[in-house]
Amino acid sequence: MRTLKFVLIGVVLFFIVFPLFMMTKYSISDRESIVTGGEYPEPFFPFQPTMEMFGLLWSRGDFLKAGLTSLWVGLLAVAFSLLLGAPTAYALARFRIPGIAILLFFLLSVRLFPDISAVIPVAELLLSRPFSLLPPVILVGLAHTLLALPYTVYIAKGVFESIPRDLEEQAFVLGAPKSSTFLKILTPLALPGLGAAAIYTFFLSWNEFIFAYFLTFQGTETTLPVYLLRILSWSPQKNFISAISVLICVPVIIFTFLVQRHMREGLTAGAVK
Amino acid sequence: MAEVRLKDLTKKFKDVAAVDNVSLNVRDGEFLTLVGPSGCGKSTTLRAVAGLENPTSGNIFIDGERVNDLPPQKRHISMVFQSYALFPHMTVESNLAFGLKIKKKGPEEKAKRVKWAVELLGLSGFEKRLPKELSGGQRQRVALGRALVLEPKVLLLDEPLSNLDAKLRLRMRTELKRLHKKIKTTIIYVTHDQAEAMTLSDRMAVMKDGRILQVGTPGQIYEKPADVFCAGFIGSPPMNFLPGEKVPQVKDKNVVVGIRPEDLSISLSRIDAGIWGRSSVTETLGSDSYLHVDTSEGLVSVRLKSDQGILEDKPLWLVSHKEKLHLFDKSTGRRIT
Repeated sequence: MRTLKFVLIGVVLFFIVFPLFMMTKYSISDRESIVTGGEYPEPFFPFQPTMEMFGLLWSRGDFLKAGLTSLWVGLLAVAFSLLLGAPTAYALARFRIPGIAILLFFLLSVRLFPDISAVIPVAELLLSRPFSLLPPVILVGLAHTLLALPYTVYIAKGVFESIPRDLEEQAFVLGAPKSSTFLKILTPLALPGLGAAAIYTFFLSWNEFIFAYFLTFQGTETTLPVYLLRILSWSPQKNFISAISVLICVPVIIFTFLVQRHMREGLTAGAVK
Repeated sequence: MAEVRLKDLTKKFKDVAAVDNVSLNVRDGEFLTLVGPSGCGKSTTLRAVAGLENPTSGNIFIDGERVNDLPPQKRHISMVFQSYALFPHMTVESNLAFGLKIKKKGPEEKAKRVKWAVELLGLSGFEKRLPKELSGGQRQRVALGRALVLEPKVLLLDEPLSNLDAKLRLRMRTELKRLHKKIKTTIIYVTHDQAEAMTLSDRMAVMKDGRILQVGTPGQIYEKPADVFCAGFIGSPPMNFLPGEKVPQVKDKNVVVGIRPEDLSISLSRIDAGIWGRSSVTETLGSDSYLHVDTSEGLVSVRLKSDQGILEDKPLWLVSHKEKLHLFDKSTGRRIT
């Protein structure tokens, strides 16, 4: 049993780590390590590891521009989905609302279709006036908000439900109006949970391809995944394309490491009992 | 300080009346307890006084002013929740100062009152701690302090001791009583624990199914319970109930006879006025011991005198002075005077 367990874990790890390894390896490969002409096998590790491709990317304005676009789109999606999602979730968590099941169903509906069919009406809407007057960054941000909102609402609903109602009533009894109860009691307590929703939204946006593609393929301003496709269309070398992939992954990995500890800490400890 | 008056207060949830036509006067400076089993409406009554529940009908007056339509913050009340509801992201100090801050008190007054509460409740040295770094008793005191710094006219306490372990609960009970003596605020206290109600209250109101069955001092209710429920609910171990026809001094089948364990005495020889039984087990509660006696009407508990030895598994007769018997109407459950 023990051996089997380790073998299984090993297999799973291999499937996760191996592609990452290959991607990283190619991104730092020198020319001889990838262009072998069949004369010798590709080395397990590059002969002469080099950061050349990263340097090249750094010097290319369009890559940085796509990175910045992705960043802005992500932040916009986070802002929109929290501004809309948190109050919605609060209302869903605290008040009895008739027809709530139907509301929640509609909220989820956009995710019930495959993205490739859902994108058509959404793009159709966003690419016609008055929306089309907005900059592409905002359009993609809105589309990503649409995709993230159901999750934001569901996560935030759970967050608000986990905050004891007593705390709000207590603030109320101590004289706090609704607004300061929300700002001084609820918001600080909900923050870690809402942070989780924000991170989820940001990653969704950072990775999202289909909606971003439909909304930006005509223009020059694109997000990183769409940019990657454009590069792919002129069949570049493995090392160049891998370097782009690495740069798309790195922020996600670093960010996850930084925040996961904070997200796990339950801030409500000690509130009741 | 203030008096609180409830007039025909009713609170319905859907069709169920959680509080059913309750009228009650809480005197200025009084410690009044609402006591009853869970679901009897005592917490709902308290929440209605606090302004957290809107009465379906009836009125609430604080110091003669009708407060039905006032939000909690305008009622000059303060409330401590069963869960303490401390704000987990704030230090003890910030928790204590929260209400003062909302009421826009100056920094000097704020500091003065917080200091007063900290000293009153023995929280010195804990000002900068977070609730999660406090023990249960300390949290309870912070919750109490947070309510007290606002100098409320009425202090509402909803089962404030029920989350503490038994030993701490007893200590906090004493502290609470001493505190009330010192600050003399009107307190309405909710508990399901009759012992707590007995020891703390100036007066108590026994509730069941949304109604108040009896209001009186602990002594009055113990000595003269208004009905079978109050009689059985107040006192530990509870009063024994026997059908009237089985008690030789009564011989009336329309009556239920209640006898407190301490009002029974034991005879090993036959007594005509006695009830026959066979001793079963003895329960020792430190200073007192109780013998459970198997009679034809079930187990009857009797408080043993200190000089009585072990009496297990012996036939015996139980007697009581006639004036110590509580007689209740069998059909209504009400006391027959």
